[in-house]
Amino acid sequence: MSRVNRGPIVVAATAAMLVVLVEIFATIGCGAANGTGVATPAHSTVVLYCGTDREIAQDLIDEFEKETGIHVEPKFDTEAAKSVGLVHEIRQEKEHPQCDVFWGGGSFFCTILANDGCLAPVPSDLIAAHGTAPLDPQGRWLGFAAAYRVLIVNTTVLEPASRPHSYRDLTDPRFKGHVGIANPLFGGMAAHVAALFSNLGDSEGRHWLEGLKSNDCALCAGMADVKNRVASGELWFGITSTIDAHVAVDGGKPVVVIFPDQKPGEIGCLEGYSTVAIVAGAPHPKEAERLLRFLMSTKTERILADGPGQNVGLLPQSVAEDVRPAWIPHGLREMDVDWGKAVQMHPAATQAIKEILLGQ
Amino acid sequence: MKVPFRLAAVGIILLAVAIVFSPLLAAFFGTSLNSHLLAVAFRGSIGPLGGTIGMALVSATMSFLLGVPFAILVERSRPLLRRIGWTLGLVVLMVPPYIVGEAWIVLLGPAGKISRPVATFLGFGPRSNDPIEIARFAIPGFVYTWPAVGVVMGGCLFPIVALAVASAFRRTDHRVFESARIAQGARGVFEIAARVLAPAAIGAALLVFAVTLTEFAVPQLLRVRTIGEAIYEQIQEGDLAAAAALSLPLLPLVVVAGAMGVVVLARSRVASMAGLEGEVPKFTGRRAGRAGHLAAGLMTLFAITPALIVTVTSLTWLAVTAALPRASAIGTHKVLRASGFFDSLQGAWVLAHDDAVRTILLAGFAATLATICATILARLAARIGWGPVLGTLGAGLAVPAPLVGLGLIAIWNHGIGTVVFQSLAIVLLAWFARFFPIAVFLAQSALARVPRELESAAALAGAGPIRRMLSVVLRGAAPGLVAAWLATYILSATEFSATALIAPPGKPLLAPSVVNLMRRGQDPEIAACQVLLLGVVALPVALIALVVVSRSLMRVSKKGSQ
Repeated sequence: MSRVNRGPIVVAATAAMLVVLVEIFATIGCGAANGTGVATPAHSTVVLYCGTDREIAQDLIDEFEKETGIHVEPKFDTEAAKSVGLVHEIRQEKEHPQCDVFWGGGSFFCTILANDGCLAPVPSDLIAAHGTAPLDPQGRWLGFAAAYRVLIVNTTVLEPASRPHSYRDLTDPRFKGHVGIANPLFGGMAAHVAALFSNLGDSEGRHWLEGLKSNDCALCAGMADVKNRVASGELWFGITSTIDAHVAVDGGKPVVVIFPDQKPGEIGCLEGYSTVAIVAGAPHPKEAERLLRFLMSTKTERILADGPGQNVGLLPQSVAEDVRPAWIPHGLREMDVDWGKAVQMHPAATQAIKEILLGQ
Repeated sequence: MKVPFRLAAVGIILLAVAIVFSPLLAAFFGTSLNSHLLAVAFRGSIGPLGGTIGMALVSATMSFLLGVPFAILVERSRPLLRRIGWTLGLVVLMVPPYIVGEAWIVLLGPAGKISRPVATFLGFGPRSNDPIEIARFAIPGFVYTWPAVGVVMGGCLFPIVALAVASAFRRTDHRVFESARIAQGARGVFEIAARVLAPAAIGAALLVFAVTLTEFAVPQLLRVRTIGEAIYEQIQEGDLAAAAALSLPLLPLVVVAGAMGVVVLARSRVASMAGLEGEVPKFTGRRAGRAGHLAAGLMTLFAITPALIVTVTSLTWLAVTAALPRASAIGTHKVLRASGFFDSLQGAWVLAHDDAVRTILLAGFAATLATICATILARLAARIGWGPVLGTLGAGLAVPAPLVGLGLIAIWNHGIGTVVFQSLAIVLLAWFARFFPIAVFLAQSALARVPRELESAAALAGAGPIRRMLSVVLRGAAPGLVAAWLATYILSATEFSATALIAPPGKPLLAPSVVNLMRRGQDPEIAACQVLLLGVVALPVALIALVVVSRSLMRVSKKGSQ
């Protein structure tokens, strides 16, 4: 009778398991020797929850560590869950905060966190020095490094004369079945729709959503997904951020970026910006404050403007020095948004999205 | 059996149940449950539930249709072809489904690199020569439907069915096929094969159904609304209890599908024991002729197309058509500006090499621990007759990943639990909660393949329980246990929904990093990130294969020299 020789499999599996076990214990051992608890004093660490993309934030983290000697333990979100994961993690950890500084999420999610009592007040001198840059009226978060919500348009399918110029063009029947936005139930697009509802009012906001529905607007997996679909020609245009749009432009895709609603009487394009806040009960408050001060600098905004983020500087000195990527024009008409009101409108906007776009 | 032993066994089983279900219970009871909101949430989940079940059914059917002929044809082919076929089949299992989903969009989407030229070639394209008309031509979006999600998932998971069928096929005394052929020709062979192999195939397809039910990433990418998305909405609205409640309808579905799968697979073990387990008959039936080999080759190609060939083609396309290097932005970590595939691969490695090493070690450790625990658990449960009870662990598969993450935060972010919460142990717990049921199921199947008679014989020969376990049980169950290790490793290394939530600060893992870079990047970066993730997933498998092959070669050369 033939016998299947399983010896090699047993030996191989055992060897692999042993190697993995040895390595993991070696790694854990090294980690204990070099980790924060033994070799380095605990106070020289700051825990950063970062909704900003890693390839954008990492340079600044490295710079901060080099400059201050404080070790940053960052935690990033995923594009799919953009900021939502970290926001809810901070909420979930509220009783026993693990995070010191929350960077990202924008004013919308920071306002939600602030209203939930998850954020601590920002030092008053930073608020005083913030000038016209956006901040929470109650001083619980600071805004900087703007990015805009723009229309990304495929140039092979739309001639210059027929290209859209307003968010309302997403409901234009000429483009039926060929427009897209990020799923408005999540992340930045949820904030965008809430901002539109607060600016236009409930009735007009719902009317716009009905237009999207009748125009078969695609609900993509994120703003980067909108960019990908427009770049491939699958969609003709859609709403994305300048950060994502620039990836396509830089990659040589046949797309053009249009800053929407710039004509007189139009609502202007939505200015999103990065936000930073200290978490209430942060385990490392002094280090958190140092990181906050580091981020609130023109140097930081210049790195962000030159790097993959392609952000526009908002801090007083950055405005004076005109810190911005060359391709983002001056004098943009911006949508007037009261983010506190937008947060209040969020439940109504979500309900409308579910009823109109998802048919629930 | 001694009472203390029985109590210990029951305790260990209950511990496993607690590990798997504690995140769900924490999410469910850890927040205030509002009955009105719950009712609203349930109303909103009816539509997504239909799509979810639909895609799971398509996935199960697809895996059945690909897996059964693949297994039979490849098993009957010549050894080299068989090895190639199974290697390719196992590679399919290593490709994360969300990478396959992205590849489907790139190649077969409305503006797909394949779908559009093919449709144009077939005459469906625009009649005009106007470049704008040509550019506007798009294929109706099949990829953005729930059947497409089912096809992608079925294409990724068909090797599960194929492995089950092949296992039954190998353990069958092929004299029954020969007898049937002589008596009734091809029809007789078909009838016998259906009786012997169908239970294994159906059981495995039911498991595929259960696994697909809770898939989150592929439906999101292909814009299909599922119950997972409805759950995520509740999480965004801060209502964790409603999110947990929404997953409840999935639990019985998964338990029923999983239990049916286990029962059917158990029946298949009985049905195919004609030659006695472990005593593979010498008569292995008629081998396929040239036509059979050709059919096996073609079937292999066909079966691996949805998950592997489409993905490799997409990756190659993205890498080859990458733009020439451009002026880079300032900064060290500029993956997004590193044009060209190899530049991007280097950039992705620079940014995420620590994540990659950490992922390999942690996933390897998780797989090792899960395999050992699952083996002990399956053995204990079998000894005290509680084997079917372990089937309830399968319900853990129905708990969506974000809920596992948030539930673990609720449990461990207190007092002394923060020691666990602030370490990578929390990631291990998340992976255990998600994938331990699969390891247990595979370990149970592996141990069941070892005939009791062999163990009894070893006991009569004076071997103690430990020696019997090491020299008889583990030796016989080794292939199945290796499969359990691989399954846990692959699933853990590629998991990102729960991992992104609970990975401790400063210790990122590869899947969330890569998925993020992939979603944000330009074409060469997307290809590079996918290659990096696939490389990490395949590394231990390649090492194991290398060890096995080199051991075999050494054995052959040793025999030759004697």
